Amino acid sequence: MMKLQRRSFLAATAGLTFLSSFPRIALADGHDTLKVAIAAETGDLDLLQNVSTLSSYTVVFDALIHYGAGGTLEPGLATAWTVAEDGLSISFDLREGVTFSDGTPFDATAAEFNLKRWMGVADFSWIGIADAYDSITIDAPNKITVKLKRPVAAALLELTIVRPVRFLSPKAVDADGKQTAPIGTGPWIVESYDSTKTVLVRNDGYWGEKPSFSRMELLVVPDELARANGLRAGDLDVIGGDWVAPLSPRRASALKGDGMTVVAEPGTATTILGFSPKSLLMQDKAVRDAIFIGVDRAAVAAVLFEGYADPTVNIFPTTVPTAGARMEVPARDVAAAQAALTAGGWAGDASGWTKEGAPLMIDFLVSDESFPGSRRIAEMIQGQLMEIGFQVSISSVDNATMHDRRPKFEYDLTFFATYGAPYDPHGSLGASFVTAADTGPDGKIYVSDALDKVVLAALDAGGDAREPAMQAVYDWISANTAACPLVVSQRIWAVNPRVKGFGLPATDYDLPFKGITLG
Amino acid sequence: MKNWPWLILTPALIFVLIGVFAPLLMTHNPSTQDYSAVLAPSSWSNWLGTDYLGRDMYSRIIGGARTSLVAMVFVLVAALVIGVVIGSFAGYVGGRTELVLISVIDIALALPSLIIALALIGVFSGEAWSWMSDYWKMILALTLAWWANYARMSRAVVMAELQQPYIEAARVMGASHMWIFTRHILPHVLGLVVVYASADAGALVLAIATLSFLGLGVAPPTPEWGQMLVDGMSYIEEYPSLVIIPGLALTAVVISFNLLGEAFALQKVPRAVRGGLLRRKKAARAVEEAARAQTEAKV
Amino acid sequence: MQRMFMRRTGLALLLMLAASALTFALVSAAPGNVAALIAERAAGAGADGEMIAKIANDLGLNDPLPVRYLRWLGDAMTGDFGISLRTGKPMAEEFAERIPKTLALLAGGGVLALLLSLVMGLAGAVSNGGLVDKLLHALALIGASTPNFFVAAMLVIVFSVMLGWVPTFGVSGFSSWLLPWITIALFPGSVLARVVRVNLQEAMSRPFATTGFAKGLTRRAVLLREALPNILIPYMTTFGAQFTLMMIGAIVVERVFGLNGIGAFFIEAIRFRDFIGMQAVLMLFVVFFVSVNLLVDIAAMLADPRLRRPRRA
Repeated sequence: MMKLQRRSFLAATAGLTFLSSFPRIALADGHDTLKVAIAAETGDLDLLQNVSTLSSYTVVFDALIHYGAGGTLEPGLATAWTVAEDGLSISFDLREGVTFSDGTPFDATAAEFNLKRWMGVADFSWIGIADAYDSITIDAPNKITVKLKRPVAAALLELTIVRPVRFLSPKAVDADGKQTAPIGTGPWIVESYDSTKTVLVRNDGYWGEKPSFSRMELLVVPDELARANGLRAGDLDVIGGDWVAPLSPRRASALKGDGMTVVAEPGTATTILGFSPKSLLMQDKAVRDAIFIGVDRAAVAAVLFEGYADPTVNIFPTTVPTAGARMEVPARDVAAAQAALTAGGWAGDASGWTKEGAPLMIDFLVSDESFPGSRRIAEMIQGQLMEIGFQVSISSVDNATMHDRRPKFEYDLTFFATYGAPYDPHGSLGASFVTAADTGPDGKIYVSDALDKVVLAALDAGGDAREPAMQAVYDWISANTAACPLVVSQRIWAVNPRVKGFGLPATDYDLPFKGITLG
Repeated sequence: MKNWPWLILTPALIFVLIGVFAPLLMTHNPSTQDYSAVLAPSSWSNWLGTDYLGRDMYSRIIGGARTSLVAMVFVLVAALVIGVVIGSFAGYVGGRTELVLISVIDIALALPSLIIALALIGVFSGEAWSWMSDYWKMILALTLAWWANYARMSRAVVMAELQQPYIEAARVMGASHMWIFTRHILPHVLGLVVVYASADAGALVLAIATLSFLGLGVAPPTPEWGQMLVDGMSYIEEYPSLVIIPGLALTAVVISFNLLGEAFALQKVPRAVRGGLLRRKKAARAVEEAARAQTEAKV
Repeated sequence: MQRMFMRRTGLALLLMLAASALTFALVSAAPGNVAALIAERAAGAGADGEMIAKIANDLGLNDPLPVRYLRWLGDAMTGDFGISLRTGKPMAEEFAERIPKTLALLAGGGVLALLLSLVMGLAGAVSNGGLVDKLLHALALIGASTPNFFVAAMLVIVFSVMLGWVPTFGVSGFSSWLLPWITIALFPGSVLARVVRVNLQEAMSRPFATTGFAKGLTRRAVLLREALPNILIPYMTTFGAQFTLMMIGAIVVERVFGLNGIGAFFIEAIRFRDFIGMQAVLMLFVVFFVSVNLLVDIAAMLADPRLRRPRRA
């Protein structure tokens, strides 16, 4: 009898515990906290390392100049700047009355300390002004001048990027100069961080517009479905952002249907189909032309991006400065593609093509891990090209293999994406279209000696010569079918209806907390 | 209940038949994309609707059956042959050769099959292997990950059978090793191994699907259930059929093979019980080994 | 008995050594230059060939395979499993942070599988061929045949989104463990349920059962008192095997539910070619598997004196 009683008591207790776990307990302080999803942990936000999502830096650290919509330069920690006539020096008026969150004042000394951490340092020579750095002079407690060995056309734009150009408190480094804590001048201060979340509190001493709410939590949710579910369930307020916690068009459509607010704006990065300059097959212009006219950009945008993308044949969208004249997007034309092949000496039809005994067979390198969703786009394009008569075999690999094969050009076709604001157009052009630029694992969209000349000339051009020189680059790429731009995907974010005033920031590297009020 | 063996066999048989006659059973080409009929519900023309590229789901499921079936058959046969040969050889020859072979087998067993397969697929993704399609890479990787259990079982059976008095008698009568092995021992080995393989088939289909889920399976446009499931995850909220249909297909096939394996295993026990004590103990131990090995290899 | 134990442990250690060499070779044979990935992580767009070469040199990646392996082995002996190439944290720290989560997942899953299997198996045996028995057989069959990622997806949709019952990600209290536990316990629980049921069947046909009936005991009593203890050995063996399988299941489950345990770390390590991380986790797996098998063998030996005598091959 005793045994039975004990057993049923245990069962009852277990049952109650089990049931009581079901209703979720609402967080007491949740009301004034904005919960944003991030795909990977922020880490220690070391300005000289690339530990995590760039957007986490921008809420804590300011730059001298901030990138505004369309590429306009807005005052950040510098209120005014003057570039000398010869381009060999730039003077900055530093903002007064600014302090780091540990109380250290921001002044010319602090600015010089920070700039010297990366300017002239070999590891950062990919930044124009870092490579051309000569010296810094402090003209006054709030005025500095940076002297360069040669003019750098994109210097000011470069000062708007995320890292390493932002400013850290001089007291937050150890004897070796390594960062000890993420102390900046930004609107948010890091309270704590670990592998599951980063908690930020409002910087009440911020020089600019302070957020309307006092806490922000960046919660690590690596899985996209989990993020969408979290948003619906109220565990998250904001999800999205290509560089924060990507939201796919499909998910966005579904969330919209569930009453969530979906905000989408034209993107700044272009998805491009790259031809391997080292592939024999791809060196045949007829093949490139056939692919260019044979892919259905409109269908890709409509079917896979659900309208959250704009077809394009330009390398850069208009949201990027000096992006060049708009070229009309041709409709897909199978007949024209086949005509191009025939004109190029290929013989065959929709069931296959040959030229001098070699079949038209393409190796399409794809990594869904490096570029989520690209596998599906590749599938679609494979179907489209096969209708023309191409034989396409998709190599679906992981991130590491992609980074290994791409720079070695071990593919015929693969996907690329331009960097987007604020790194473009000089960033992508200088890296992905120039042979000499060593981009390590990123590979090249297209390179050739002739192209090198045109691109380098454009990057060096300043003032009025800039636009025509850039246009020359775009014209060359178009005339030689050096690349096949596909679409510009829109920037998609989804927010919980309790979040009011949500607006997208100028770049994908900023967290969109500005102007938000919590309902 | 004399009919029930055939009843149990039927689902698995259906799957095999579908896989074999796939091209005849399809209503559409599984790779044909139709952008005007994307994510369509089931209709007279598309019995199970269409997927996100407008491809006919029914035809893709049928195609997936063939993909899984062919892969499964290849892996099982290859793993079986390799395993039985190595294991039997080890058990029969004994001595130092056996020691070496057992060590190899044990090492291969120390790591879960899925991990080995994952690692091997990683190795195969290099340029040197690009002549091989993803499909065959997966088959090769799974074969290399799967053979060890068969080897261990074969060895166990061979060792058990070698104890039998009739083996001694045959040797005395001058029969060759090959003769003894093929005539007397091999049937026992195959008997046990087939039991195991029939249920293993289900685990294998699951492994293929899991590899696809982790992104390391077949390349498009080959239809494969695990891949279809993963691709469908993005649409799970509004079009759950993209996930449910391949998921159900997978479950159904695995169930049918598990049923088969179970039936075989259960059949063995009664026969052993009817026999003598020694046979019963041996058979029971063999079934135990099979059950343990079976669950161990469902990795 | 003592000697057998020592011998078993010795063999186990040798096995771990050999397995570690194999995994090291496998991991290193995969393409993908981890130095390139580290460089990319450190410098983003600025990663260039020079930086990659420097990193490769610093990490000793250019040394021949045996040298690298021995170096790793030497470090491992002293308990230093290196610093993860992907996260930059010492493996000891990663383990300290992540192992508890995976253990919690496995522990809860194990308990759930145990309960599930005992309840289903016993209920089936009591019913003995009746409707309940057949139903539970079917259920167990389905449970043992459904892919775990399918289960996870369905559970999340039904419970989290539709009903809004449990949190959908991360670790936020007891309730967030329920779905992961159910997902990971379904397969082992179903397999074990069949083991219980089948072995009970076999046990019930043995002489001691008929003796029990002759003494006037009910079927239920005979099952619980006489038959159940007899299934201990096959149950333990299978449980041990299933438990190690759950570790593999944890890889998928942790990923789907956003739990950052060892399984999730392992997948990321494979992707990143973080061979330090992979090697450390694989060693952990091997230690785990070998230990569980060893424990099961020892427990079996303790439970059944007949198994204590060394088996003659």
